Amino acid sequence: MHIADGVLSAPVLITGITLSIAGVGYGLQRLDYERIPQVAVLSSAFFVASLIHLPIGFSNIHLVLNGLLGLILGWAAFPALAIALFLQAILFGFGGMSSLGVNVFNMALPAIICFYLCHHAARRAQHESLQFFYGFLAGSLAIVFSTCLIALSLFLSGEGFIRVIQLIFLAHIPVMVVEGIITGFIVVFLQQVRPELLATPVLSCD
Amino acid sequence: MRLNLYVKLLITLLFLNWLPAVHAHKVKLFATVIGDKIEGYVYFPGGERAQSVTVKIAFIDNQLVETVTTNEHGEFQFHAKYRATYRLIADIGEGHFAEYIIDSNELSDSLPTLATEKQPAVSSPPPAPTDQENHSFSQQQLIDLIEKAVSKQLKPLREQLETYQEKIFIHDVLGGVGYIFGVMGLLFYIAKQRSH
Repeated sequence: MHIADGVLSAPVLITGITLSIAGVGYGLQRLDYERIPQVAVLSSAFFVASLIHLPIGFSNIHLVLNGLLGLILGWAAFPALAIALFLQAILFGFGGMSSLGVNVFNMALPAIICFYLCHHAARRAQHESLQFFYGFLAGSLAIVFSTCLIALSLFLSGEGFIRVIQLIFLAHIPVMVVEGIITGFIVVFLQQVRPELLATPVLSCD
Repeated sequence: MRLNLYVKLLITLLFLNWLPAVHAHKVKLFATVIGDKIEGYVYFPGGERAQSVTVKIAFIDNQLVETVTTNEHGEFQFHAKYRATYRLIADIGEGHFAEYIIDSNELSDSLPTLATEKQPAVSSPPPAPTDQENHSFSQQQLIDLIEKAVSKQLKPLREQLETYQEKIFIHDVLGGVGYIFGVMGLLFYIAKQRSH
């Protein structure tokens, strides 16, 4: 999920940085005062989740949670992901410093797409199985879009697109499933315990 | 408080990080070299030793040399025949494995290197037994002795370093979370200033 230094070409890096700065700026500008703690906690959750490796069969994976962040935070997912990814890069070497912009964009854009795709439906859904379904959709689609964006970044930097997307996509199939299930459960849980969290997004995007 | 829920989520995630099950794949292998003998042990991050684990000893190009099994203290040993870079792999199944690289420089100089072995055997002459009787050491024996002594001294240091790295990781995790909340405070401050 995290692209390291020295892999991407300069135009891709610059595009990534520019788009990410724009996204973070927009997210911050529209960030509600009362919602700052919520963004911070979800940002921390993302930061910690990537460090927990779950053994699955032949390999082990880690959660990403960008679908969940997008679903709850909307555009505020941009600053939340930017801080967490920055810290992961300087503290643990997850992803490089120069590729930080690209990494932020690759994870935040899918989060926002999932917000627009699933937020409305997830909060309207009455039945538990439907709520779970939309949560699952958001969680797994975020990973699908992220892997596509990563493959695209690598392709634009000169790697063979088909080969790369095959490798990344196959490696992330377990992540998509696990991520979907976890996001689904969280959405069902939130609907039962704190439905107002989903009912009032950080940004009124409607 | 709607925040409560998030705090619980975060604490759960932080807590998960310490659970042995999550780190179960983090089985660890530690090895040192004394002369031509590679010895070490397999353990879990908590310090518990892994018994009856198969340790594969291979050359750096993955060509398998031998497999050994750990004893009831999780220890194993292996006599290296060549002065080569070895890769030790402890595989406890289900994707949990540990790896340790022994550099050829750590092994005794008296061992033949792989390159010389592949050519028709240029056998290194065994040290002359008469040296022992004279109570004087050949240069080679001296080197072996010094290597033995040094690696014995280094062993606790290496172990310390490994545990230290574990600790640093946990500190970094906590530091990162603290940093995020620091930024939150900063945003609050800026927002407050703006509202005035």
